[in-house]
Amino acid sequence: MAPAPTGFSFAPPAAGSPFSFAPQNNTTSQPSSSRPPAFSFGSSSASGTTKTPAQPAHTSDDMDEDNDREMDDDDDVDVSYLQPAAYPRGGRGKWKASGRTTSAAVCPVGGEVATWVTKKPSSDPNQPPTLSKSDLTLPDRTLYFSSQHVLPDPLVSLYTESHLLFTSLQNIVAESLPQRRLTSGDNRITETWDRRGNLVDAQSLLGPPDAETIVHMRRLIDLYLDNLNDLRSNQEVEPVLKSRFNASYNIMNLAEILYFPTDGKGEGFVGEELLDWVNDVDPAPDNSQGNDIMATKNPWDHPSFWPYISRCILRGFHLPVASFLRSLANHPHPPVSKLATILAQHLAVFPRSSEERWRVDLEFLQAHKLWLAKFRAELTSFTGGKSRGSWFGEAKWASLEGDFRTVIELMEGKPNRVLEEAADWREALGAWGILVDVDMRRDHLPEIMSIILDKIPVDTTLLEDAVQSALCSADIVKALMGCYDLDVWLAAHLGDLLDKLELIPDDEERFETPLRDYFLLEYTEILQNNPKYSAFWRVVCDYLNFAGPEGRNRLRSHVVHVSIPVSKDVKGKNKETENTGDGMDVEAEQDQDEGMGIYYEIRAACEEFRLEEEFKMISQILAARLTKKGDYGVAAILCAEAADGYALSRIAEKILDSYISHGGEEFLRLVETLPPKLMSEAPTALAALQSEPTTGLTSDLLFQSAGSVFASRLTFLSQFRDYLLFMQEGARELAAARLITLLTSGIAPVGFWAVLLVESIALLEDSDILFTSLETVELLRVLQDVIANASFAPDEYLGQLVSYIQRLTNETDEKEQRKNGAQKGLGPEDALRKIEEVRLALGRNLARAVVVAFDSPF
Amino acid sequence: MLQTNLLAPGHADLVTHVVYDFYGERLATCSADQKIKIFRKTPEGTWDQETEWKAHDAPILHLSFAHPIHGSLLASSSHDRSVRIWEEPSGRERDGRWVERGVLTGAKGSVRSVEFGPPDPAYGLRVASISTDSYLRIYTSLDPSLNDWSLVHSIHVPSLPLPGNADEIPPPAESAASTSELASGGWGLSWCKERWWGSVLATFSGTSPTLKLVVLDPQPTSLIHLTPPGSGTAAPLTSVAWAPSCGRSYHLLATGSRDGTVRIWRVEPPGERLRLDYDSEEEVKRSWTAECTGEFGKGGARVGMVDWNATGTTLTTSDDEGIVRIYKPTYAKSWKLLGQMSAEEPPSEEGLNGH
Repeated sequence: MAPAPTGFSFAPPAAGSPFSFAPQNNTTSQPSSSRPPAFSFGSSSASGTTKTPAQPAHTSDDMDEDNDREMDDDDDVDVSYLQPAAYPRGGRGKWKASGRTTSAAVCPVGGEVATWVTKKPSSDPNQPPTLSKSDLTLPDRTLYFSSQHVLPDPLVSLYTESHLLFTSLQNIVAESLPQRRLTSGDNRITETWDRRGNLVDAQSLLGPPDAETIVHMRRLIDLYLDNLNDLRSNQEVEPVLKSRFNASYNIMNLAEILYFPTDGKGEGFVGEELLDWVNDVDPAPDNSQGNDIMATKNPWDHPSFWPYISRCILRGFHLPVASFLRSLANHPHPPVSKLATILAQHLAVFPRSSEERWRVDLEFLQAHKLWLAKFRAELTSFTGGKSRGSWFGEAKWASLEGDFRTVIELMEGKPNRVLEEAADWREALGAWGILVDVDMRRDHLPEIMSIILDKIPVDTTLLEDAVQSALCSADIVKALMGCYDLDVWLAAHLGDLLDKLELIPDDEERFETPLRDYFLLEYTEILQNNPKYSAFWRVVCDYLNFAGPEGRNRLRSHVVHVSIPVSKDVKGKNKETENTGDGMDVEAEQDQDEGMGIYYEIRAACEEFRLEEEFKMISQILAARLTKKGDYGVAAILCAEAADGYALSRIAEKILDSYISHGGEEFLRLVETLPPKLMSEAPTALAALQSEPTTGLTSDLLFQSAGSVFASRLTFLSQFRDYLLFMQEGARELAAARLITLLTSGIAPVGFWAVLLVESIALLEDSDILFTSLETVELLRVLQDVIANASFAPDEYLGQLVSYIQRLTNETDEKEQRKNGAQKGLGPEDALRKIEEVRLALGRNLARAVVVAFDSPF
Repeated sequence: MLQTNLLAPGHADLVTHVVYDFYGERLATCSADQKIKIFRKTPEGTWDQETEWKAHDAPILHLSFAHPIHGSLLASSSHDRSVRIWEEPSGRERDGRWVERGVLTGAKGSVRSVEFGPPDPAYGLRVASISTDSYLRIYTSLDPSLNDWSLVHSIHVPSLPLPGNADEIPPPAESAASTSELASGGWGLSWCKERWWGSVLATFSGTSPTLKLVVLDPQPTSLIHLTPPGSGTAAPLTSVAWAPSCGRSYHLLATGSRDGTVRIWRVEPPGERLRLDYDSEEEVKRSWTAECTGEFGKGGARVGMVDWNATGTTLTTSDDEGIVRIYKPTYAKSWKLLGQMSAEEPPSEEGLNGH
């Protein structure tokens, strides 16, 4: 009956089979059968060579050539045409002679290609080329955009839905790993070396997943199948796509039956499942034909009567056959009706492994054996030793005997009869497990397939058939190659599944990436290179992350190219935006929210995939864009995320500048936008940095100094804000104290010293004495510093003061003044004059303070 | 390939170059009409013009966007022998033209190609240009406000000696560029996008069929010269593109030639582990190896451009007959023509049926 077990088994002891779930650690004979001779993709010429033959040589030079060479040199490659065409058919020579050519540019994201008509370089490359006719045609004025892939909605839906299943699958298998590690026993060492002495990843030695995990995987495959099934039965899907979905469904379904058995081990009989699959893929026979036959007066006279019976037996529809045969009871020749009755009786009780009455497989096998013995016994008693051709006595019934023999031999499971009657290899395989080898298990399939294909070869023009038969023959690589030509989605997802079972042999010598990774990367390229690419950015991340080292590398470049929208308008109170309608602001803010939404999604992805460097770069770029836009608050948060101290201090400086040019109100508004946490922690951070000065030139020095710069800048911002608020509230004593701190703690930028001094005038002139004599002397010292330094660096020490005075003196006509520019209106000498005012005020205050100190020394 | 969209950029003369920005969200076009235009992608996938301005005093030849880490910067080169650096204005000056941040002069011929270097903290922002005087010029701005540009390197490409050969080929006299060289020569450059090996770029000039890979620092030195096999008859190059390597251990470069040949070169830098084993820097530089892994289209029409996609897995080329071709590697890493687009009018229905 069944071929002797060939060592194919899902059970651990028998390793080395392409069907086996056990690790394939024997590198010798066995797996070589599953290794195809050469790989080729979509090309009829299966060549592994590195060079493609050159196209037929054309001797003519491009300048004078006008032979309108057809593009046939690239025969099998599809040509698409740009609309509107740049030149009419046959007009190439004329078009070229006019000095035109085309050029193209590739978009770094989304795979779009822009093409345009341009001029050929002129014979003197230093002179601009000219056209023989300078009139521009419509194509001359057009930019053409094209894309490698355009995804219809059903594909988008499949690609989106299957993404979650794919990631769940990776997680399920990954989670099963530690468990396997624990249960794998002592004989599996965590570190192992291969023959060449390379350390092999322990994970790859763990072998395929356990039965439980396979059962989980099967559930997810069912969901893949549900997706495909919905799409193949959707009326709105185009026929071409539909047939693609159908093919994918059938292949995925077959793979599930063969490699992801319900019990996770694949120990049971596979015949019934395979037959169901055959009946699903290629339903036969036709019910209505059966009805037609039965409707005729003598059904056995119908030309399709016997073929129909054979087909039904092959397809496992034994009860209908029994009723067909019973119709022969009315046959005029009694021996015929008698034999028909015998066959019908036995067919009606033909044991099937799918019946629930079998408690164990053995019971079914015994029942079948018994049935066969009984059937044969009855037949023998019927024929009574009659020789061939004389069963029914009269010669006119001799032809009927042949038909009966066919039925009998099919029922007996004679391999040759099954192969003769089967319409194709698939039907033969489906029947095999029901009729020939009723104990057919998964391990037997490669051998059975070779018997079947020997008689009924696969039509190699049918890609789907080639893939299916390869799957049944356990020729995984060939099957996946076929899948790739059929549908990249299928190749990627099926390849991933079969790889998890460690069924894909490695061929490192010839190829750089494992087959699974290659298919996943190819699939990802489709997701990346189509007009809807931006919707897939996160999906692409996941696939790349799971696609080996090459995928990880591509992920790094992928994630930084994700575009984050930043509205162009400056948010909040700003000169130009004030005039625009509210609608604009709302829109801008929505854009902003959307942009930040994507940013946080990217942050989550970067955390998940551990892309710290990339995230830093993304944050820096976005922060710079926001800073430029004037959105300092969000920009500061991003700088903090990116740990970019320099950018943070630049923001702080910009905010400080806003005080100089726009005054306290604008300054306070901008400071308010900064994250409170950043502000409140800055002084602590500064203190910590100051108390632990870096020793020596460590590599951290750069970062440390950057850190202290931004911490001191932020501390200054926060203290200067306090000063302004004290002034607003009229708490002039507190304001004065704060002013002193600002100048004496060393956190004020030098350019701001002069400004602070001028700020002090109002406080110095207060009726109350707000500065002690010591404080006044301290201010005098700062003033001396400013004057001394201004003599060689006037811009650095007085520049900001100049702008500041400019604002004060022109509060009424601020805009006009800004246009004229600070340098033109006022200069350092004006600033110095202002400083002298400060000196005067200081002098007066010193005098008052000294007197008061005398009056009340304590 | 499928056509998805059209745009009428509205230049007064033919478009000379088009570039996408880093995110594919913007498009810059330049033209013989001396103008640059910037377009932005709408959510619907169409392009809206953002701004335009007159940028040069002669037809513009080439554009390049800088990496966004350097801000929103565009470089343009022109027949007026200059390279100009443009920065997007901040929000307040929105509708305006981009702000000119630098005019890089010194070229004694039209500047045929310009390209910003990849981001590299060691060298800051760099921009390379090549002009018909066969000098590769590298400029940099160390000033973050980009107002102070200086020439870092000026390299006469034909004089670059073979790796390991210390003697520089003496540069020819000023007028030595023969008329034939000018008539059929080509000039181009492309940066290596990977910064591990320093500031490296590929360049070619004049009628030479050789592509030279040059490391810029400390002194510009050839790493390897890529000369097609049987180079005695090889045609001058017209274009070069260095593929993003995406962390692969090797590099891919593509060149286009005047005789229609597209070549794909696989270049391997010395392995990281091996680096320690070399006696000197010199030896490290010499140990770059290259192999031509694909050659197509010999004898066809002049190749106008070659360009890679973001992962360095798809090569796009165009030629003088108005055909754009797409090449991809197979699993076995051999290269294969995948699709093509023609600017020619499609064959009539009967013609198709008769096929």
